[in-house]
Amino acid sequence: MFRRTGRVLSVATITGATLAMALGATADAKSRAVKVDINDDGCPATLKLKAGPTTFKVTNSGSGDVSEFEILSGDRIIGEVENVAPGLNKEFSVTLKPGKYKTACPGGSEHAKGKLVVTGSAATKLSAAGQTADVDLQPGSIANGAVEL
Amino acid sequence: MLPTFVIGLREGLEAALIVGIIAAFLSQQGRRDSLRWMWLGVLIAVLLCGAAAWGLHVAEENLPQREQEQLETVIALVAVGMITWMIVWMRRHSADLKGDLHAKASVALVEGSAIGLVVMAFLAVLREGLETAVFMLAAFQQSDRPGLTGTGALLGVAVAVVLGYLIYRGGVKINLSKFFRVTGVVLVLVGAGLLAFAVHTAHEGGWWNLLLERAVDLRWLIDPGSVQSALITGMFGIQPEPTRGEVLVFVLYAVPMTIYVCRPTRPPARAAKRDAPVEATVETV
Repeated sequence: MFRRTGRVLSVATITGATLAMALGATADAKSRAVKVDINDDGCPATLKLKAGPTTFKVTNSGSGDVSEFEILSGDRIIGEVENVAPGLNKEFSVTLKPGKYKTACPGGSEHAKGKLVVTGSAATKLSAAGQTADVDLQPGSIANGAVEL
Repeated sequence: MLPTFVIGLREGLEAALIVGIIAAFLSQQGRRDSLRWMWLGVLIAVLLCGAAAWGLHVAEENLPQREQEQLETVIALVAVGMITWMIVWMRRHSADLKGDLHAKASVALVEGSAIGLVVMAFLAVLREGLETAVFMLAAFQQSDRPGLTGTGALLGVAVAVVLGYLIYRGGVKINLSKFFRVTGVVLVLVGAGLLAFAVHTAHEGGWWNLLLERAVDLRWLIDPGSVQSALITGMFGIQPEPTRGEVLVFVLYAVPMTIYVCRPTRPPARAAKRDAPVEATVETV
């Protein structure tokens, strides 16, 4: 079935990959922080953000129907968190380029899919290091579809 | 407490089911030696995942979700190959069990295969273990009510381990011929589910972006956040709202394999002759 060396190699590779993932992950210190709250309805209907490195701090105020937040460019997932149970918070960082994106919160009853619009250029944002914009975005709280951060 | 219980149960079952089946299979073969190695492998995987999760926590890093999904995809595909091999193997040897006094001897597992199963159990735990360990740490540390959420997560994983153990005990108790038949059908579903799961995680890992439209709405059956959703998704990889790609690979695997498992067995003499090619088949899976 497996040849011995192949087997040892594949185990070593996967084990090594796991450890590398644990030790080698990098944090983006200059990332702008954006708070996103998911609930049983799903994602925030619309997010409007400036381009640049962005850290999404995801919380869950629902009952547990939804526990995942994804950002998609077209059909491709460019960033996500899973297993954000109510009461937990998890974060992930992506560098956003100007354009239109989708957000997805599988299991959501109203907004399983949301919109994310990114404007502006990344260059101007990079000079404003350390600046954070903590805006709490609740599903449904953005009735007119857009909040400038 | 319930939400973390459900997540712990689902993540735990994804590993415990495969370990339980492999343990039962090795036990049925009388491979006590391999079984001990398997438990050691499982223990090492658990410790590795715990240490890695703790390392992430201490370094204040997030779990690199994309790499985690890619890792899960690769291991899931290896598992599908392994499970397919088990199905083919049991199917071919079930004929030998009929009226043969030396049944046990004629269905003995070759050494390489036993080692392969031991490795598979190790990988199954590694696949879900890191994500589960990170989740459990978060449940205990981050919550406004750490006692409740943490206990929920812990109970979820504990119940998954108990279910895995029951699968193992149940698999050991029934006779070998019946074990082959029952396990064959269950394994087809598990294999198909793992394939659908691999498509799901491949999308999350950035490798697969085809056929993403929702194929069918199963939320009436797999209600998100419920205990039965954890059981169904955890054991058979079926999402509440599976995409067309997930359904396609599930059906493409499950239908021919079910026909293969359920058609009448050949006479023992002919089945025995076919022993050698079994190993060759697996190489190509």
